[in-house]
Amino acid sequence: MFTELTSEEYDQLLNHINECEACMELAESMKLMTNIVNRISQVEIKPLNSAQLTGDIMSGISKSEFQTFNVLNWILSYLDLRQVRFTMATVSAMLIILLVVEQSKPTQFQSQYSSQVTTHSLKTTILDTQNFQHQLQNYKATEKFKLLNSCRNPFNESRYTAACLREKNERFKTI
Amino acid sequence: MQYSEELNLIKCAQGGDSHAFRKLVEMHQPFAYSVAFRFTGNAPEAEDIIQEVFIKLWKNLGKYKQGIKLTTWLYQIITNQCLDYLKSASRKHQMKNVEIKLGKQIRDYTNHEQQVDDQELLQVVTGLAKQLTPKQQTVFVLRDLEGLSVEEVCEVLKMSAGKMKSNLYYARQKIRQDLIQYYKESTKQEYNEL
Repeated sequence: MFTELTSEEYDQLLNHINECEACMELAESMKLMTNIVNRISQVEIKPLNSAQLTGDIMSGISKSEFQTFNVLNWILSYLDLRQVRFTMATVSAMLIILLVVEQSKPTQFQSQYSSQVTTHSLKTTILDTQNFQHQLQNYKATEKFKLLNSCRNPFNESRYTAACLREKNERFKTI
Repeated sequence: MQYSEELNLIKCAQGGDSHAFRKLVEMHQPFAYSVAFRFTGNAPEAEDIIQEVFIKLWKNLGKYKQGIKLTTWLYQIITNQCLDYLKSASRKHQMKNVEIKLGKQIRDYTNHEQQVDDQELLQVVTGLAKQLTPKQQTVFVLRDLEGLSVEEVCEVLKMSAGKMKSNLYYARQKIRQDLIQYYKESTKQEYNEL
């Protein structure tokens, strides 16, 4: 009893108890309680089935490990959260909008040629052969084809780019 | 089992060896169960706590530092788990029922003039300890029922010696008063029946 006290404190306590009747009574009941507590601290407490408890613990551990590595469960548990669901819905909506915008844009091929058209329309003149018929006089059909083929407008085969024709032959300088 | 042998088992378990961990469980399960039972006074609840304790130990075994006794670490996990358990709202509700049952049990013993043996006395004191504050109960269980030294209790609970002694003093006082009350009622009952 009173083992937490230092030897000096214990001596002081004993001196006081010997002189004080109330404290003597208190010490007696403390002694009684200490005896009871000592008795019950000796009681051996064992699980009803120790081996089964060990088994339960080990299966609990493997279960917890499975849960840790079960990605699907992990994702599903996160999906249960309202905020996560809201965020995922927002991200999905943004992706759909982005996809629609991307689809409406012209492809690289389209944009390449549309820029050419723009260039042509701004800087060059597109001509029909009628516009330079007299320059083509004296040319044989094969020669005409050779001369004109490389200057065909990519969007209309029967039309030609004036600047290209001017470069090819001096006859076209005046067109 | 020697400390070095235990350390080997811990190292193997840290590497994921479940057989080594099983041996550690078998070694420490009896005392762990005893502590949990002294807190709860109920076998199924003590078993639930122990399962949680060892799962936590398995998950945190990587944090184990050499030089610290595994039992000290286990005491920390068990007391924390028991305190969480005692604090939980559902537990408070259950505790009321346990107290009522315990009160009935005490009356039954006195009615039938049965001598309260150690097992029954353990139930009575465990029931009375539940009425203490969580800190007082923890200190009382570890120091008086488990027999840990003052230093060990302070280490497990990370509490100063003064605070620990103060909690222990109030815990003992409360238990003593309740025990006196209990004995008075028992004697009165016995006297009335004569």
